[in-house]
Amino acid sequence: MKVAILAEQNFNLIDGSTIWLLNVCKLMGRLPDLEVTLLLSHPLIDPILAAEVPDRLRIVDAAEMARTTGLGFERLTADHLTAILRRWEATEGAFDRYFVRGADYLTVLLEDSRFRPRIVGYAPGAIPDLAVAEPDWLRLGRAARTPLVVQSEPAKWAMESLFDYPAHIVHVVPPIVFHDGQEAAPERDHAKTVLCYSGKIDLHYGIDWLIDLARRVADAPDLRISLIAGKDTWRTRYPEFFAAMDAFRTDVSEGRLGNVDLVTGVPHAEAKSRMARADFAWCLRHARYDDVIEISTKIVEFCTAGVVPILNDTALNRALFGDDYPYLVDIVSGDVEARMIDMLRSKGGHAHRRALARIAEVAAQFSADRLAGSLAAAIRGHAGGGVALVTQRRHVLLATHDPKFLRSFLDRVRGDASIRLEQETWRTTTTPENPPSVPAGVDTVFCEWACENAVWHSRNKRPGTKLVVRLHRFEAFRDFPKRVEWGAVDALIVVSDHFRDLMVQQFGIDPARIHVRPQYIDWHQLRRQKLPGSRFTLGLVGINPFGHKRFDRALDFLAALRAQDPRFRLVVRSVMPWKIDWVWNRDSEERAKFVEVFRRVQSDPLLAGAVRFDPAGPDMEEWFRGIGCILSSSDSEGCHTSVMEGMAAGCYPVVHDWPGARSLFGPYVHADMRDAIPEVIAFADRSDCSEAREQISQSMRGHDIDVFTRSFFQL
Amino acid sequence: MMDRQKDVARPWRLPRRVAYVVSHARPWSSNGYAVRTHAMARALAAAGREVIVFTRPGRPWDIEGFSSSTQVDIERRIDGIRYVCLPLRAIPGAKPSARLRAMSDVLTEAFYAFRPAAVLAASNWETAEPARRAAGRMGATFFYEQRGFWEMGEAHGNADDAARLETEIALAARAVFTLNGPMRDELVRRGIPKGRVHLVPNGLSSPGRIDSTLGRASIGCHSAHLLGYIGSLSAYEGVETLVDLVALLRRGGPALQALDVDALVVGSDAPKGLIGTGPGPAEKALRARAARLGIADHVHFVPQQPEDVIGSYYVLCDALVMPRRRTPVTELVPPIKPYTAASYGLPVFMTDLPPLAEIAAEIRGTLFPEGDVPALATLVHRALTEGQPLAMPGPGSGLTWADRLRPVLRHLEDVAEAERSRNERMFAGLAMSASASGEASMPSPLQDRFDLGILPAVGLRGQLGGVTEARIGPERKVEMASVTRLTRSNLLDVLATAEPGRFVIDWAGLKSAKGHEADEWAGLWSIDDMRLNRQIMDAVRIAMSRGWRLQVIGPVHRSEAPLFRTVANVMEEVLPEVPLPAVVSESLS
Repeated sequence: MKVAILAEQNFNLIDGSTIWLLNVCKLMGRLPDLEVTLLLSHPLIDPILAAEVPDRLRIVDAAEMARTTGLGFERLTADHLTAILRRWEATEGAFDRYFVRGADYLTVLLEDSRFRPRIVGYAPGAIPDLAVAEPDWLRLGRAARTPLVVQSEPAKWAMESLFDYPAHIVHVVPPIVFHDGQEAAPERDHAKTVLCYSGKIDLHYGIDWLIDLARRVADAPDLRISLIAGKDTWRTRYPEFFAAMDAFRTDVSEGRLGNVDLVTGVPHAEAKSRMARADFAWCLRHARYDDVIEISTKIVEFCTAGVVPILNDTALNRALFGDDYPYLVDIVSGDVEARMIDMLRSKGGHAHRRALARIAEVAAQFSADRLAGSLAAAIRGHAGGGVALVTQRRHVLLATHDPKFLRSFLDRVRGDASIRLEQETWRTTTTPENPPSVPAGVDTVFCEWACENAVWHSRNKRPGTKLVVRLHRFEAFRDFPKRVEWGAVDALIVVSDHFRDLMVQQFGIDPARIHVRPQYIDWHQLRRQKLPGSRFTLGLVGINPFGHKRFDRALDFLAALRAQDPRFRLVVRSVMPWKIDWVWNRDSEERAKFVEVFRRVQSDPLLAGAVRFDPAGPDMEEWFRGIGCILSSSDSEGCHTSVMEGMAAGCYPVVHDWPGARSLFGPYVHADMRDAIPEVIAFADRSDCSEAREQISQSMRGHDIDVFTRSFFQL
Repeated sequence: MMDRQKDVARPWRLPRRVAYVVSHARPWSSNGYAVRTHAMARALAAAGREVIVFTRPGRPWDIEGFSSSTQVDIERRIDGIRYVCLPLRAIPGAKPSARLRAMSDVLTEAFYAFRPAAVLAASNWETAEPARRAAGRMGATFFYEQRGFWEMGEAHGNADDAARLETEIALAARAVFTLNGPMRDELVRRGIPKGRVHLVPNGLSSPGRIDSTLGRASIGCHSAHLLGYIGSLSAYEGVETLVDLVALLRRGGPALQALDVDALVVGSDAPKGLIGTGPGPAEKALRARAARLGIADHVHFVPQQPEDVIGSYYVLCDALVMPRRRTPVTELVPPIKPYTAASYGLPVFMTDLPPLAEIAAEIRGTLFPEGDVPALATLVHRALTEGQPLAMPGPGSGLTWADRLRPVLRHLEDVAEAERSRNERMFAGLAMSASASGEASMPSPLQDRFDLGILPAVGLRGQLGGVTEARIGPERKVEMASVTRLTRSNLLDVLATAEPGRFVIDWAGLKSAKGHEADEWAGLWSIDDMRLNRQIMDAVRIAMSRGWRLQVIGPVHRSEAPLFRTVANVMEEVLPEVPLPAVVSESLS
C-alpha cells in the first residue's frame, strides 16, 4: 500500500506539531507493508528533523514537487494542493492513502472526489462550539465516512456523540515518544533538584510564574531551573510579559541568576538529553488551556524520560495520571510558586516515588508497537493486525440493492490487497441498474438479500464460481425464495436457527449448505466503561413499526418492574413514528396505537417521568454506556442486532420470545418478559456486576465483524 | 401595539429571507459603504438568499444636504436587489433614546410585514441597535457587520460611549463579520469571542457598464497619461498628495524625466457619499493647491457619480492612487476602491498602512511611504513608462464576493435550517389539527383565536412576578412565579414546548448538591459522559431557536468542566450572589 503523509506544518521548525509529524514517520517506518512518502509543505532548508526520519520513508519537499511537476510554487498552499498532487501522481504514480493534517488541506482534498476515498484525516482537538459553524472538513469527512485519527479517547467520544461521526472510523493514536533503548540512564545530581521547562516562550504556558519562581529561589543552593527555550510567541501582543522575559534573559546571561540554565534553539537530541537530566518538569498552563482534552507530546516525552511532570489539576490530567497523583496544581487558588517550591523539595520522598511509578505506567501506554498498530488500523481501514483474510487471491462480485448492513464488512475487505471486490447495483429488490452478469475472473458471487438478485444469479451461475446468498428476514415471506434455484446456491447465510428451519421446511434446502450467522457487530468498539447511572437504566432501540417492535410490551414490563422497584427508568432510542411516512400515514390503526402508548407514557403514574426519549443517532457505542439492561419486546425480528450490541456492551438482556430468539439469546428469553423482573433487580444489585457484564459481553465475541468476515471467505 | 405583538407567539418567518439593514445606500449614495452593501446583497442573492436592503429609518431624508424636494420611492429594485426606505416621523426635541425606540418600532413593523429569518445589520451602532431590537422582537437571528469604528474620529466621551454600544451589539450578534485582520484583532481586544468574528473582506466586483462616449477629452484631459483618484475627499484620504505628485511628475527632477501626466479626481466631501451636491470645501482647497503649483489645467474634477456609471471613469485612467493618511481609523479599516480598480485591471498605488498592505498583497498593488511624493513619483514613473499591463484577477482568484461571503452563507444556512424545522413544526401542528377535525380549510380566525393578551397573567407578564424559568439544578429560594425543574427525561420537551423564558443551568448549585438531582447531572460537561454533553447541546440548540434566554450560574471553572466550551459562547455566565436580573421588557417599560 502506497501512503503519503501530508501536513501543513513547516518541517524546518521544531514545535509540538512537527515533532508529532516526525513521530508519525517513525511509526509508519515500523509498518513493513506500507510504502511511505512524506510530502513537505515547505522547501526543506533545515534538515534538523528530516535527518531523524527513517530511511525507508521517501521525503519529498515542496521544491522537489515544484521541479517534478513543472508548476511554479514555493509552498503547497491549500488553493493549489489538488492540482499539484494530481500532476505529481501523473508522473510518480498514485497513492492509495493520504494521511493529512490541517483543516485547509483536508477541506480541499475532501471536496475533490478523486482524492476523497483515499483520505485519512488527523483531527486534533475538534470540539464543537454552538456559536461557530461546523468546520467544512468535518462535514465533508462525515458524509464521506473518512477515517480520522484523534489523540485521546475523550476526543474520540466527542467525535462520535457531538459530531455524529461513526465510531469504527475514529482511531485513537496518542502522541508518540520514542525510546531507542540505547540512551544511557541520565546522570542526575542527588544533592540538587532540577526543574525543567522545554518549549515555546509563551505567556500562557505559565512562563510568567516560572520567572517569578526562578527569582524567588535564586539563593536556594539545592534547586536548579533548566529552560530549553523555543521561539517567542505573541511578542507584540504581550509586550509587558516579554519585557520581563528579556530582563530575565539578561540577568541569566550576566550571571545574576546562578542556578538558572537557559538555552535557546538547541538540536532536538540535545534538548531531549537536557530534559532527561531533570527531576521535575514544568507543564503548567494558564487557565485558558484548562479545557484542552488532548494530552501534549511534551508531557509524554517527560514521562518517558522518567521526569515527573507538574501538571494543572484538570479533568484530562486526572483521567490520565489518577486522582491521587501528587503533582496536580490548582492554578486558580493559592500561591503557585510556593506550591512549586514544596513540590520540588519533595524529591526522594514517598510522593515522588509514587509519581515515578505512575509516570512509568503512563509512558507504557504510549509504547511504539501499540501505537503503530492503531495507526496502521486507521491507514488500512481495519484492525486486522495485518493478517490477510485469504490465502489466495479472490475476486468477489457483490450483487445487492442495499449494502447498508455490510458497510464495515466492505471497509474490511477493501483494506485487503488480495481481494478484488466488484459491485453489481440493483435499483430495487426486483430491478438491476444494468443487465446483470458475472464478469470473467469472478470466483464468488455474493447476493446480499435474497431478492431478484439471488433469483437471477441462481439461474445464471457460471461454472466454477461459488454463489453465496444472505437472507435477512423480510424476503423469507416474499415470493423470491420460491423462484431461486437453490441447487445452484453453494451457501445460504441466515440470521437465526428459525430461518434455517423455515428454509429447510419450505424449500428442502440441504441444511449443510445453510449457515447461521447473525448480523455482525463491532464487538471491540462496544466494550466501554459503564456510566454510574446505567445500573438502573433499561434501554430500548427502535419502536417502528408498532406491530413488530411492540413498544407497549416494553412499557408493560417497565410499569411492572417499577411497581416493585421504582429506581428503574427506561431510555428509548428511536426515530419517532410520525417522522416515517410508511409508519404514520399508511395505517390509521397503527397510528392510534402509537398515540395511545405515548399518552400512557405521560399519564400512567408508574411511568411518569421514568421514560426518556433520546433522538436517534449513530453513536450507539457511547449510548450503551448509560444502559444497564437491554430490552427486546418485539413480536418478530431477524436477529435483533441492537440486543447483540447491548450485550457486547455488557447490558443484561430481557428478550420476548419471538421466533428465533431462543437460538440466539436462550437463557434470557421469556414468554412473558415480566418473569425476568426478579433477575433484573438481582443483577442490578449484584456486587460483582462488572464481572457479570464482562461474561455477557464475552458471549457475543463470536459475532464480531472480523470473525464474520474471515468465516465468509471460508464458506 | 408592541405589547400585543410580544404576547402572541412569535410569527413564522421565511427561512431564506435576509433583512440587510444599512446606514445609507444606493441610489442616493455611492461611497464605498454603499458599494459594499450592493455587492454583498448581489452575492447573497446569487447564492440563493432573498435579500431586502433596508436603509436606517429616516434615510435618505435625514442625510445632511439631502434636498427635501427630492422624490423618494420607498421601494425600488437595483440590479434585481430590493431596496426599501423607511420614513421616520420627526420627533421635535426628542432625546436620542426616543429616536432609537422610534426607529426600532418602524423596523419591527417592517419585519413583521417582510418576515426575515435573519437580520444582518451593518455599521454603525445607530443603525444596528434598532435592527437588533426589532430582530429580537420577531425572533429573527441577528448578525452584525462591523465595517468600521466610526467613533474613533469623535471626541473622547462620545467615543467611549459609542465603543461600548458597538461592543454590546457585537456581543448580542450570533456572529460578527468584519473586513480584515486588524479589525478582527480590535474586536477581539474589545472582548468579542474570537470564534464569533469572521472575516468578510471586500471583493472584486464584476466590471460595470462602460460609456464609450466618455473620453479623456470630455473631461478636459489632453495629456499622455492620466492618474485617478475616485472616492471621498475626506481629509484622511490625503488627495493633496496626488496633486503634488502630478506637479512633480510634470516638472521632473534630477533622476526623474518630466512626464506628460494629468490627474482625475472623482468624488466629493458630501456626507454619506450623497450624490448631486455642489463642490465642497475639500474640492475648493484642492483646486487652489493645483493653481498654486501651476497645474490647474492638469487636475480635473468630476463630482460624486452614481455607482452604475463610475466604471467609465476607471477605464479612463492608467493607474489609481490612494494616498491615505495614517490615522487610527485608516490603520484599521480598508477601503473598497482598490478592488474596484483591480476589477478594471488598473494598477493601484497605496500608502503603506496595514489594511492597504493586506489588499496590495491580494491585488498586486504597490505601496509607498505615507506622503512621500518623490518615492511615489519614482514608482509611478516606472509603471507608466515601462509597466506591464496588469492581469485581471478573475473568478479563480478567491477574491470574488462569492468567495468572501462564505462565512456569512454558512451562518445563514444554519438559520434557514433551524427556521425550516421550526416552520415544519408550526405548520404540521396546524395541518394535523385541521385534518383531525376533518376540515380541509383553515378555521376562521374568529373561532380559532383567543386573544391571550386580555388575561392578566399574560398582559402583565414581567410585572406581576417574573418570567417562566426552566432550570437544571437544585431548588433555590427564588421569587420566580413559575419554575420548571428539568430532568433528563423532560429537558428537551419543556424547552421545545413551554413559553420561552429563561433557561438556567445552575452549575454552582449542582456542584454543592447531593442526592438524586446531583447524580442525574453528574457527568455534565465532563469528558466522561459525551451523551449528556450532547443532550445539553441539543437543549441549548432548541432554546436558542425558540428565543429562550440562556444562563449558567457559575463560576464554571474550565478545569472542572472541559466540555462547557461547547455552549459557553452562547450562554450568559452569571454569579449566584448577584440577584438574577429580570428579562428586560422594552414594551412594558
